[in-house]
Amino acid sequence: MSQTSFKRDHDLHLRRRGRNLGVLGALSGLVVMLFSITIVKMGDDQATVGNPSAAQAGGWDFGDFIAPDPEIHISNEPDRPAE
Amino acid sequence: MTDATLNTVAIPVEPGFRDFVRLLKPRVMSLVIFTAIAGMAAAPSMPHPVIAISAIICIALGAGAAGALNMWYDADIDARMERTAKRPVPAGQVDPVAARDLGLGLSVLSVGLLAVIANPLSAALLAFTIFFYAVIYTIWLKRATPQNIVIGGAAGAFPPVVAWAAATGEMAVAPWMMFLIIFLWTPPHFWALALWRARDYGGVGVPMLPVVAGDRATRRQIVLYSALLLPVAVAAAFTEAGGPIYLATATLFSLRFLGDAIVLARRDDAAAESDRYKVEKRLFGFSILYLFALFLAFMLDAALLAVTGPFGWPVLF
Repeated sequence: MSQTSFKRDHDLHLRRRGRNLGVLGALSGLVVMLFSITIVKMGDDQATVGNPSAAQAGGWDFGDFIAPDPEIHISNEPDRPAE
Repeated sequence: MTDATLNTVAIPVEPGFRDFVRLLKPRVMSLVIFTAIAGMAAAPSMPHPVIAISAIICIALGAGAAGALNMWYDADIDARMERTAKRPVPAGQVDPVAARDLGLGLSVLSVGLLAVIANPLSAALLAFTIFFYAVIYTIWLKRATPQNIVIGGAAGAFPPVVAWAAATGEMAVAPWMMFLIIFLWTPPHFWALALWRARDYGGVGVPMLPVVAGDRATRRQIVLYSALLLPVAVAAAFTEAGGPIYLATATLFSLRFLGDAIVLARRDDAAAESDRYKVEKRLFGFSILYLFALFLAFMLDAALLAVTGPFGWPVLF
C-alpha cells in the first residue's frame, strides 16, 4: 500500500481549508476597511464626511471628539480661582 | 444496527467559501454595486474615496444579506425549479440555518457599519431595503400575488437611493427618479424571462404573472411598464443627476426598449415556441444592457460636470 494515500487531503479538508482562508481574507479586508475609515474620520475636515446633516445639526459629529479644534486649548491643570 | 443501516448515515456537508459567496447572489450584487456607484457619483457632494468605497461595500453586503435570507426561505421551491435547483441550500451544500444566520449577521453588520461610516439616514434606508426584500417580498408576497415581481423590483431599486443618502445625508428628487427607473424596468425584464420559464413557476405554486394571468396578459403588461418607463427615464435627465449624455442614452435606449416590447406583445405563445422564444430572450438581454447604459450615462454626466463645471443644464425636478 502506498503511503501517499494517507497524506493526500480529503476533499472535505480542502473545502474546510478554503473556507477558513476565505473567512481570513474577508476579516482582513474588514480590518483594513475599519482602519482606513478611522484614519479618514480622524483627519481634518473629514469628520463629517458623508454626514453633512451632523455638521449642521451639531450631533453625531465625531470630529469634535476625536480631532478638537486646534484653536481651543485644553489643559489638565485645575481651574484657578478668579483673582 | 446492521451494516446496511450504517451505510445510510448521511455524511455531513462541508460547505466551501464559494458556496457562502453564492448565497449572496453575486450577479444581483454586481447590479446593486453598479447602480449604487452611479447614485453616489451623481450626488452633488462626493465623500472621501475611502468613505465612498466603504459605503458601497456596506450596500453590497446588505444586498447579499437579503439574498441569503431569500435563499434560506425559498429553499423548498428553489429545489423544484430547474433554474434554481443548484443553489447552495437546495443542492445541500449549505445548511439552511447557516444561510439564515449569515443573512441575519450580514444585515446587522452592513446596517451598523453604514450608520457609523456614513449617516443614520442611509443606514435606515438600507435596513428597510433588506426588510422589504426578505420579509415583505420573499415571505409575505412572493407566493401570494402575481404582482410579486413589481413589489420585489422596489427592493432592487433602493441601492442608488441609499448611496445618494450616504453621500449627501439628505434626499432629493434625482435618486427617487433612479429608483423609479429600476422599479419600472424590473417587471418587463423579469416577465420576459418568465414567459419561457412559466412552467417552472407553475409547478411550485408561485403565482408568476404568465402562470396566473396567461401569456397574452403578460405581454400586454410588459408593454405597459415599458411605456411608463420611457417618460420617467427621459424625465430623469432633468434632475440634478441628469445631463446631455444621459438624455441621449435614455431617449434612444427607451425607444428601442418600448419597440422591442411592442414586437413581443404582437406575438402569441405558439409563435414564441416556434422560434424558441427568440424575441423574449432578446428583450431580456436588451433589458440588462438598457439598465447598464442608463446608469453608466449618469456616471458619465457626473464626470462631464466635474470636468467642465456647471454649464447651465436645465434642472426641472
